[in-house]
Amino acid sequence: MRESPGAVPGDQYLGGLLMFMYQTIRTNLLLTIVLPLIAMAMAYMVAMQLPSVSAAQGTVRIGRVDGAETVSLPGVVSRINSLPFKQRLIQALQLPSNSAAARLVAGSLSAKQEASEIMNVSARAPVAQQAADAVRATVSLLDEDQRGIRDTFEANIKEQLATNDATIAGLLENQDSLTALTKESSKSATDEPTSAALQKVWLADLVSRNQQRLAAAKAERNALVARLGTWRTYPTALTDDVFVSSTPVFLKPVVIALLVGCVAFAVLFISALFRRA
Amino acid sequence: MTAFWLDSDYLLAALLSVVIGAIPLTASLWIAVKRPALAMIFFFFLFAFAWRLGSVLCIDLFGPVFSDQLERSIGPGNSTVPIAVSQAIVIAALLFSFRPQRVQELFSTNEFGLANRLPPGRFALSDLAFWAVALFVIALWAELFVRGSIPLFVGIERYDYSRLYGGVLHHRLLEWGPMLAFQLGVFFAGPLLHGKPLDWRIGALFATLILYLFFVGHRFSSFYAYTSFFIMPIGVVLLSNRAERAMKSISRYLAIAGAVLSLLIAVAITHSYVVVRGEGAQILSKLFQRIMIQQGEMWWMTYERVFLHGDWNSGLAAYKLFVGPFDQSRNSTMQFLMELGMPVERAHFVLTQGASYTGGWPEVYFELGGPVGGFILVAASAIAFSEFLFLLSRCVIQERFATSFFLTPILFTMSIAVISGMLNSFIQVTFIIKLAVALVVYIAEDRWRSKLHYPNGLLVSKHEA
Repeated sequence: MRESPGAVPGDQYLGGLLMFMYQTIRTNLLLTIVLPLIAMAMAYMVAMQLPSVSAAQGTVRIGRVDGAETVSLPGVVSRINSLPFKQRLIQALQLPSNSAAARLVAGSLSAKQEASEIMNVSARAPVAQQAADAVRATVSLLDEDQRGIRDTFEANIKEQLATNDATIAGLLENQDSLTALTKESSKSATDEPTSAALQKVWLADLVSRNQQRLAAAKAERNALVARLGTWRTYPTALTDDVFVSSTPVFLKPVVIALLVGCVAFAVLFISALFRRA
Repeated sequence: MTAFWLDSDYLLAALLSVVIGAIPLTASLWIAVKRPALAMIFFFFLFAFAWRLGSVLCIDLFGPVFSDQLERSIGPGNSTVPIAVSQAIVIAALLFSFRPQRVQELFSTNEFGLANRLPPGRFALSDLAFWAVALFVIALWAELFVRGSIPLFVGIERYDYSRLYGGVLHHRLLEWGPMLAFQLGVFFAGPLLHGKPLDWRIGALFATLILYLFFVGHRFSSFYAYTSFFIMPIGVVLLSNRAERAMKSISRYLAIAGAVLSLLIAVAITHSYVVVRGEGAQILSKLFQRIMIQQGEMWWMTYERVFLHGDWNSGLAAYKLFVGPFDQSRNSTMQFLMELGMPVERAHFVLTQGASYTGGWPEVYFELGGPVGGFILVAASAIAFSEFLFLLSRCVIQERFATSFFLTPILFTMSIAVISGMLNSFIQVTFIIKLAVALVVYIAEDRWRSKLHYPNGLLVSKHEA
């Protein structure tokens, strides 16, 4: 296709520009190719010496007591991200406070809300096991805090259950006594039929009221047991096992070398362009 | 009992808001009337500024008004004043960078006559651009029809379509669309530099892209962004005094295109609210919130925090913007503002749904710098942006196609920063790479063109002179 007069010819423009760049590289081979290659090799060797770092992450479900959160999820997230909690975690992991591992764990531990009661906790450490332990220990510490409230609650509910059981036992005894009394009353003949009838009504009323109280006590017991049910009261725990990334968190040495090579090439190519001018 | 709007304090405050708010609006109007080419370059910003200012003014004057998104009442106040001053600073910086004498110097040099300095070739660069984009557009439409579910006909949201049905090319268009529109604008208006008519083939391609967006359920934002970036280089080319005649004929075409686009947007919005979302009964209330409240509500929250309560924290802002935002992959500015302006749990819920509120600029600078430092940050960023825009305009006028191609992603990033205050994109590795590549190409093309002008070096040029 012929270009209209005045239009920039595409092949001449792109070809000319690329050829100019190619010639700049060709006339400055040492500067634009050899030096970046040397920089890449050096970067690769340095990158090989970098300590390996592993990352672990886990999905955590915040526990509830009697269907209610003991602390809100955003509160838990900001707590995990706070320095005092990180210090506590380092102590729990029994890492020397000035060690590189402790600094790395404290610096990298972070939590992020994923859903209404789910959060993601991640941590890094020099060793894969340490990273995984950091995440597990975080969950344990959170659960430990919650456990105090949960234990108190459970003790309280159990106390109520015991009282309730005693009440039920007493009512059952009453029921047996009343049944026996009713049978006895129907067997024994009385001289006064009116009095016997009144006694029967009175006993029937007592039995009925006892049954009502028994039913109420049993319902209350069921409600108490339900409050301890696993669907209303559960601990803070990992939903799945901790995932530890198999590759180191730092960029791969090859990638680092390539990045350094690109930067070196850009800088040296620009300097070659200025030299050429 | 006196009506509250007759109260002298209220009247004074309202008068102050109106007077200061009128400054950027008047300046924008002046640019549109007196320097229409500049108005085309700045349209993306001036339109957004005017809209936000109108919304903020509405909140100031008619507040307290209820915000559906914030679930609270906002206004009244003088929140118009700082935002209007910030906008005026940006407009002043742009006008200073594009001062008439400086602009005409670009056209007075003979550097832009690139075609005369190159030997004839087998094809024009605009042909190459046309066929490359035409292939992409054909493939894009083919992808839409092959995948079947066309949002306009099946009544699904644009983001649901993107998530469930959108193909590779669709996603590439959404990522790079405004930048593609800018490049199309360069080749559409390029012939004017040589006194030739517009390249209507390119215009047709752009119209096809707009139609595609209409089909895939876009309503306003995309049309606005694509069109703004498309007319930007047209405005650059029309900056020349010699282009006055072309300006007259183009304004006729622009008026027709604008009317068609407005109609398309009206249909798209009505279709979205009535057919897709089934909100026919509430459409007026939704539109009122969308047009008059949502544009200004986040600014009002920042105004209340920073200017009324003196509550701002640079360290926290910097941390939440650059280090620990809720979602690293998105605009951290709005995430931070939402966390500050509403219950954190609700903000995170909205963000998790993929939604975000409107605004961010100049809120981000005042959250970072406070009530005084904020203006300094606004001014510094405005100068950097206006000078960059001038540099890009220079590249377009001088037909530095390669450089302007690689500068376009940077223009997009900087423009988004001015519209929505997005700053975390500047620290992304991809942005650094784009910047480095643009720098290398800029210098390489500059040197190459110097060589074309002075093939034997500067000594010869002196001799020639």
